[in-house]
Amino acid sequence: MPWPSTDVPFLRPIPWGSLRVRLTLLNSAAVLLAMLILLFAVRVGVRTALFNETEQTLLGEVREVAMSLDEFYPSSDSFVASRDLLIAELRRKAKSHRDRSWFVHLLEGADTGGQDGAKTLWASENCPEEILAEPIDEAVTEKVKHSGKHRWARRLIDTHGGQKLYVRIGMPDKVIEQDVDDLTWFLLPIGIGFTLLTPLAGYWLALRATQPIAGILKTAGRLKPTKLGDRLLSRGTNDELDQLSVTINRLLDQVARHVEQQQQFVADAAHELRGPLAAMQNALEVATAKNRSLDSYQVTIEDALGETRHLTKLANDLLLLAEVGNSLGSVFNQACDLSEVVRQTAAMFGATAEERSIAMTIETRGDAIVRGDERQLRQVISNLVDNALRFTPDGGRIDLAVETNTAAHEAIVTVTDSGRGVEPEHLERAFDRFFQAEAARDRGDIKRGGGLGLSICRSIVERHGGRISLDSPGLGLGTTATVIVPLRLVRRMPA
Amino acid sequence: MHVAIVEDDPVIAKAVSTAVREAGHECTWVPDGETAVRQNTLLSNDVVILDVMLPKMSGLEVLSAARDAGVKTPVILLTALGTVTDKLAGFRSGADDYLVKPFAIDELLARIQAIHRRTSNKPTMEIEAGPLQLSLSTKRLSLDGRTIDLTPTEFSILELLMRFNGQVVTRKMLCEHVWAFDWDGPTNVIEVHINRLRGKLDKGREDSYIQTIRGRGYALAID
Repeated sequence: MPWPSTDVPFLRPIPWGSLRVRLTLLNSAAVLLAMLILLFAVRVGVRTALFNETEQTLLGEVREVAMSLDEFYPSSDSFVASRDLLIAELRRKAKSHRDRSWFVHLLEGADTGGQDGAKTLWASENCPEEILAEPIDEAVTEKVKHSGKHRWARRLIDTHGGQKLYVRIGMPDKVIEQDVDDLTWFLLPIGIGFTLLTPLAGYWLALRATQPIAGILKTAGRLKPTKLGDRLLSRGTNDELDQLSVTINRLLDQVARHVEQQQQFVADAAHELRGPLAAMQNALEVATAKNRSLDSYQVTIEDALGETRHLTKLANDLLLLAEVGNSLGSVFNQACDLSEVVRQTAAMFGATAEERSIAMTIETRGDAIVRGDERQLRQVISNLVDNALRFTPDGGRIDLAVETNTAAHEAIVTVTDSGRGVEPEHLERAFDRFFQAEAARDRGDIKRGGGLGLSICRSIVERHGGRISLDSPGLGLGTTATVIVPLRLVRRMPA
Repeated sequence: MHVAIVEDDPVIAKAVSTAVREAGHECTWVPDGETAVRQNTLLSNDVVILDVMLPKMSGLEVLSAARDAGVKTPVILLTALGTVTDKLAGFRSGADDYLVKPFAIDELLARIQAIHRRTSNKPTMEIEAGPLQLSLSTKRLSLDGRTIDLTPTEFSILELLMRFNGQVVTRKMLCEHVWAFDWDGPTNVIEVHINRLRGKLDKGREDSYIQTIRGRGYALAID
């Protein structure tokens, strides 16, 4: 049965090229490499240690031979007897260390040194030819000599009438190499075990690590623009995946709020459109129900016209809002003097204020040049002044001020009136679309606004990278609207 | 003056035709773009009001085709699309003026007249309406020969009213003319100036030179 295209799950079973497999492979490779390096290091270290140890032992042995000779035969009188005893002692040594292939070489050399004078007195049967042929090189040395195949300690142990007695005790390298090889053979199965275990453990770890991702995918797959209730599970571990979940959840919250606001906006807009439409429909229905006087028709038509004008204004405001909202982050190249904007606005409203004995003052300080759309900024200031005029009783005052804060690089415009003020709980909501405090909602009032003025102001100001706020000490104590827009950056011309 | 309106919405077409005829001109209704091209509407009229969203052939196509053929008849575009981009596209196609729906019929009539005057006559430095004489060069008003002092705003408002003597001028048009800003908000910023103008013009008269047309605007009615 074919599925409708929208219902085809976009989550296919995860193929073998998945993150999990890749993690496993990388993990295994890393562990194997580390193990190989470790094994090699152990082998080299053990080998060096064994050789050092052996050399120290060999040196100790020859020292011991020399010492025992001195101890037992301090005089050189009975050299022959002592020599036999020495040979017996050496034979014992060679014998007891046969399993380590130790060899012993006792030789006599002329005082002059050199090969010619060297004569083997006794050598263990395993003493290699190489050693037997080795000339006497130094009288005494504390160092082990190494030929490549063998290493041996050597020492002058006695001097007897121009003849010198030397002893050599040594062993072949291959014995130690054999030990190291034994160690390697011992470690190798462990290494192979690791080699087999690592991918398994790695796969298990990767599975554990990617499991939350599968959860995220599953939940995210369920989300739809119309159904944004689901949230990703946060395990509270505060690791990266948890932070990802929290971040995505925060984004979802924002999207959900935005969607909700848009839906509310559409509902509000429809509601606002229905009012004038209903009024118009009813008035026209009544007018056409029966024959009426010409004057009566005239009144109905004028009423209907008034409502259409209100609808027009509403539609224009909505479009302006959409237009300003769509081009968020747009770049303005035009320089615009806010002081001039405020002066022009004051000129437009000045006579009306004067007529109502409302004192309107302007104070400008600093060059409030910003980057922006002059018409839109004029719309902002006009809306604010219009609000101030509507909510300020005759005889009140409206103060316009333009300042610059060079430190923060901002231009600040304030519109302060002595009007009836705003309830603290309405200060923020006043910028919501269609929000109107009850007194401003009066449909009978010919000065009624559309409820979008401040929303438009905020959209425009934010589009200019600025912010807008209302402030009121309380009901009856006036209102201050503050618009803050970043100053234009003046690039210094290269000299 | 011969005016043609190319518009597919019969209600708008009917209203506009009626208003244009009542303003003393002749008006033809063309229901779509293809007919407009076939009948050479742009060539055979003094001013053409052209809707942008037309069936079969868009207003912009009709306009471009006519301009490519060298037809210079002034054209006012009508459209529900009011963004700057839309307007620029209109002007690039060769429009002389642009009105966004919904519009005030009075504004359309004023624009028809203004555009016709602009393309046919030289601009005058003096405007006369009955006893009123306005000198645009010296910025002076004389009423029955005596000079009356006007503020720049009052002068500007009266200038527009006199240019369209006998026609309704909307508040929006006046705002645009005086402050270069089409203020459409709740506060009527024109009214106070109109009242002051009346105070200066109507001394010793019972009814005012400047009439308030409720819900529409103001009109100067001097024969």
